[in-house]
Amino acid sequence: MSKQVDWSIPQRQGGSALFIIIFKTFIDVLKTMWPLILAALFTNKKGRSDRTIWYFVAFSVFVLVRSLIEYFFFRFQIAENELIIRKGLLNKKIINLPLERIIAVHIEQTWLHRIFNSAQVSFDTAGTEKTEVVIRAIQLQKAESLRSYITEQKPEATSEETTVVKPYIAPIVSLSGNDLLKLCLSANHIEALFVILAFGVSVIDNISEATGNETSGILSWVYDRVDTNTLSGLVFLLAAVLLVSITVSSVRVLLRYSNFRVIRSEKGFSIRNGLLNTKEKLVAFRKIQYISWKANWLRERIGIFLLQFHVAGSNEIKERMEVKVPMTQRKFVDEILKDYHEQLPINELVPVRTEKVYITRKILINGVLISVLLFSIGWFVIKWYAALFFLLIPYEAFTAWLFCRKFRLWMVEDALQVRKGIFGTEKSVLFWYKIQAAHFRQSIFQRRRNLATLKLFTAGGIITIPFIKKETAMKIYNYALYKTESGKKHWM
Amino acid sequence: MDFINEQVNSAAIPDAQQVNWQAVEKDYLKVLRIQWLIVSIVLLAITVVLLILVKSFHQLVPFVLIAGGWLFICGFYFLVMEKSFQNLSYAVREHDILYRRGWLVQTMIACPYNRIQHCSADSGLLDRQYKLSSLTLFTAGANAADLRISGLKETDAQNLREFIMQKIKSDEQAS
Repeated sequence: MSKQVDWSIPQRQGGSALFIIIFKTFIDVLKTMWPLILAALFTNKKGRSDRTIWYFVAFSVFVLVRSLIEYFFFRFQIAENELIIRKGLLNKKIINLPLERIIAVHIEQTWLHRIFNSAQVSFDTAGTEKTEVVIRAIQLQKAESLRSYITEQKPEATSEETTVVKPYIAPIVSLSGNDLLKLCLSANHIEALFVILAFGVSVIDNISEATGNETSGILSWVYDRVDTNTLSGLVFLLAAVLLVSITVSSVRVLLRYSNFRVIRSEKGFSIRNGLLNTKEKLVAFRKIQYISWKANWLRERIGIFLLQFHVAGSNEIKERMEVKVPMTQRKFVDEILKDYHEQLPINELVPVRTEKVYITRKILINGVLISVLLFSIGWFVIKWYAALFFLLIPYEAFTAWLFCRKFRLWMVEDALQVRKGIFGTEKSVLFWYKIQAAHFRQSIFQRRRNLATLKLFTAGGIITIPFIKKETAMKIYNYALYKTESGKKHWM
Repeated sequence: MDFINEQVNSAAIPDAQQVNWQAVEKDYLKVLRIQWLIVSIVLLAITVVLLILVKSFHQLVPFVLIAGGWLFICGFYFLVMEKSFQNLSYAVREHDILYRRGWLVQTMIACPYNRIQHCSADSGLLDRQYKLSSLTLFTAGANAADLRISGLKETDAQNLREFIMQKIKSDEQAS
């Protein structure tokens, strides 16, 4: 089938594409401009009907012109193993996409596509949804032909996520009842409290909207039954809130981590979990960009970490793969890291630290500047109470001091390890060759003190190394580029 | 702090600071100035409309504050734009492309060719008046990991795009 179409000749989208583009543009424009359209419809009573017609005409012309430009100035072709897309009239754009870089070709059909027997074709480039490499509508047969042509050129352009997992060893991570209890007790109950509050507010909102009554009735019902003027009343209220928060967060933990186990398969880690619905995810080894594990203050004390795989792929893939693996035993971290890179021998290495001047910068910008601004605004509303904003200064100083105390960067020939955190701790291990791009940044403040901040971009996330000596930062920058450019290992 | 393994001679690692920076086209400053002018006029129009329509602004203090605010924003924008332009430059090396930008916060971005997914060249209405083009290099990293070089001559952008595509291809063949 692929030989029927000569892809080297610039192709236009199918005739039906014009209707689909008009419809999609209409919806897109409607989505962005609906407040204006509503305003036009419901204001200006005098001569409203005339104006509404003009608004409608202007809107339609805008949609039509935009769609016609998109349709008539869009060409795609395959030449010299590259997919080339030319588009735009005022803002002309040429996109070159080497076929080798395409890891998946998606064919999607909405109800509108089905009417015209066409499809949308998009290309996954190991990366992102920012590529804009989308053909809005071509005939279904042509779309399939294009996909098979690209697949023929690059046979591995198939979905790896569908690989069947065949476990050949016992789980490397599994949780006992005791582990689950620890996880329940050490969960973030404050977060659970906010979830309950948000849920409560939305329910009260919905009730008041549906009944047309004020919500104060519900709140006063609670207020009448709890005497908040006495200590016992307050204690009762606090205990009730705490109990509900702990129960909710415990239920969340149980739903997420019951029957949890991680199995090492040939292609990656298979993660199974769930109490009511059992889910299984495969995190392919080659997709892992870096691994991090973190703990809040309490969990750090009882030795529980949540490990996270930072994988490459579109946001959709990332969301699918995002799973926090509870590490209730030290050996679990080491077991998982065996397939990536073992923890660095930090006791034998000299660490790079964040310079203490970082605290000064945090105090000046995040503390003094922000609190003065907030005080100036707050003065007009709450007078001297606005002085409470100055508490931000000691808070910023304290958290920056904690950050400086905790931040460490260790490096060996093939990898680096970072430890960071304020109240909790997060550690990450990254291979140098997984780096995609590097930023070397210096603010005026940093330039005066000969400091710099490094940002190492990977396909799974960013590692930031703030406020280190300029010379050291430049050495790391150069070394990261050297390892990325000279290595033979593919990043995925 | 010597972090490099002994097997690698640190002197042999190319230093990103020791490159000859190539400034972007001077005409690009004209494009930036026109953009600044358009933004300033739009902001001025909004300011004037606010000053006319909102009655509480018909007093000296709010008037001075709002007009001064407009002047400060436009002036600061102009200063940052002019100063940043002086630092706007790039360097094409054998294995990567470096780009330098910023004034208050100066950033040097390195984008290795073997990490580029694809690249695109585009030019807006103003750019075309001065025969300029922008080159964007997309990597698999986060959005900020993409490199966009504006203010290139159309021919330079095309040549650079061709050069990078050739590099990607030869890298693929070598691996």
